[in-house]
Amino acid sequence: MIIKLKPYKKDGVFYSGEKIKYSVSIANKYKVKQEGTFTAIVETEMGQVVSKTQVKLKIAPKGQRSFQIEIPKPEKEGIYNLRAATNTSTYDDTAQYAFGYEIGRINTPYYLPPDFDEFWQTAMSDLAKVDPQYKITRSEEHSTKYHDVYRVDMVGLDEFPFYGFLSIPKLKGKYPVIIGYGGYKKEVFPLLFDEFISFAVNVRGIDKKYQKEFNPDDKEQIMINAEDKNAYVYKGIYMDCIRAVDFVYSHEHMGMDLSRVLAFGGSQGATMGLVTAALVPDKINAVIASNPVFADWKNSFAVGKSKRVLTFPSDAIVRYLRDNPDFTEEQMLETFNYFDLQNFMPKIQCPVLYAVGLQDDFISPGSAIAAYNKLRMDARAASELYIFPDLGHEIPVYHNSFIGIWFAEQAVKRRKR
Amino acid sequence: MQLSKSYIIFLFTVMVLSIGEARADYPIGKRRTAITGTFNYFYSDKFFDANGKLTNNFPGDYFQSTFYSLNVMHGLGRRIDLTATLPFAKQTLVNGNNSETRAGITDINIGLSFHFPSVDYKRYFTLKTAVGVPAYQNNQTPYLGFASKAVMLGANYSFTPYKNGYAILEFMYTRFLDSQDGPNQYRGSLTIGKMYNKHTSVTASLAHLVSQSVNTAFNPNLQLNKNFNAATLNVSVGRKINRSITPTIQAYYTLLGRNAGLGLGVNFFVTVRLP
Repeated sequence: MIIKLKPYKKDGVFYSGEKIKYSVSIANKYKVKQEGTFTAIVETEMGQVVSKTQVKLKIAPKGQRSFQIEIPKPEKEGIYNLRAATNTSTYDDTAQYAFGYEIGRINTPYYLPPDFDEFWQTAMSDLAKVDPQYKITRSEEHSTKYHDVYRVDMVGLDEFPFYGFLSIPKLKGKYPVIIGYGGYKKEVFPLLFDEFISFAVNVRGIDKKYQKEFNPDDKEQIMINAEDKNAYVYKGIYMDCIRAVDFVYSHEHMGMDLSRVLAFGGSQGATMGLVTAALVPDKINAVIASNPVFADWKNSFAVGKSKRVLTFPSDAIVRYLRDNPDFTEEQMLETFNYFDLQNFMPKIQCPVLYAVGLQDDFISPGSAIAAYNKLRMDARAASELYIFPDLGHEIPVYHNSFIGIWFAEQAVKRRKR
Repeated sequence: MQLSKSYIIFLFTVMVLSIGEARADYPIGKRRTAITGTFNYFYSDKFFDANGKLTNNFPGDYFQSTFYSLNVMHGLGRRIDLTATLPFAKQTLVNGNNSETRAGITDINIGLSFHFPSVDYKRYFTLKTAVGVPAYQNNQTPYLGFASKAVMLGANYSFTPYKNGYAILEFMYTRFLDSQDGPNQYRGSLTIGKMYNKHTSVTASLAHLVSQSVNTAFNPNLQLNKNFNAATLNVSVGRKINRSITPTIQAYYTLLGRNAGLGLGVNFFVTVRLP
């Protein structure tokens, strides 16, 4: 049996003034007649069933049936999982889909520590006191006929070393700058753009040379020093992102147009780009954030735990809490609230191109969208949200092409310095 | 002498339309601007007669022109571009002992392009519309053009035929409005190019222009003909010299025609993309 479900709207996002409809096509590849039911079960992200829509099936041998189903509108805005269960004489299958309902209204409570701003101001001041010790070395290995590539070593908070790859087109000119941040524990390599100077940043923890100092107890990165907000690993990581911006701003003579500096990343890199734009809003023109993570930890962790099979990061957290019974979930969230993406979003002043896959197992898509909704009104008006209902922690190739177009658009506008 | 004049009309019509085609016709980008300055030199001492037969001018007779234009493209939106062209021409016609020269701004064009991308943004369907307004009057030979307002409608399809390649299949229709006998002009072209490397492009374009009018009578004074056709081949090489500036050199040649001049022309244009 081949079952296909297609939402009436390509992005799978519906609003109160319209029907939530899917077209269903079921092909019976068996030589026997199939009788049974097709059931669309709609669940919240936490797995609570909100509706069931059933259609009786009778499909001739080698036959096909196509029909439409209308899903009852949920009472609340949110992201909903749709389990499409086909149960017939000789076949049982369930496929997973998802849709959004009134996503512009999705909101999650803030868990904003009262000293959040002070915490980050102190971190920035502490960073400013650290001599960056920039060391720029031409990388023959990565340089090409068209780009000079340099490895840039520097130190961040607590004098911890990290590095990045600076790629400069050989053609003369003053270029806009793209600062790229990588995913969780992923090394990023030089990004060779013809129209931009790029700085691909590998924050602490990426360089294997310093792994012992970075993670002496060999913990999952996300849990390193989670007991103490001041020592938590992401304080250093987020400050490394700021140091990378410092580097760009202190090397204008290398051809960088500092009135046009953009940030981008996917997954954790998306979060780092957004946090950077929030912490130094006067230095970033626009952010591309695809599949951001670490938004609304409380809800994300609750959603993660509710899944039949735990995935990262929930599995790592559950394991850590189990192995460290003196450290509670509440204590962990107290630390995480200082690093929660949703708390940074209202501080962003620039346009954001934001993408979320509704079947993302690593995050709660609803939390990610709620974080987007926390952008200031003016920033949100200039931003764009793209939803991919069939994708997980990824974006389609064609969205990458659009990212190029969007970047070029954003690089037109100079920021006053 | 006058045999070359019909080509003037043809030349300018083609040139205005072909500038900017050195690359695929993708949107320039919201709020981005491209300014192209063009210099053209053209020389002709032969023509295609009414039967398409290549004929020599009288010995010593020739037509020569230098042409300058400034074209500005601006992205009004993500998929809408505004285009304006301000052309200036100086042309000399030599016939026996008689030599005539005239210079001036010719047909000013202002138009819009609406781009419709494919899902992967690699192919574009583009609708074009433009108006042409003459900035001269035909009160002194050699004429600079039809001296008629015109409307242009067109469509093209830009695609990637092979790796690092680009192609445009285009059709344009132009109606000259100020005279009952038009003409109506139809132009089809196929442009194929390849990025030789990251900074250098090589482009070839084959175009055929058909100018039709109820006024089909042949006049030895070719400037009065509104019924002609010609096919041209042009080849260009462009090289980006810094982040913003791309000079391009283009040569074109008339392959065949009817009531049209034959000559070899060279364009040199410089495109500056801002920012």
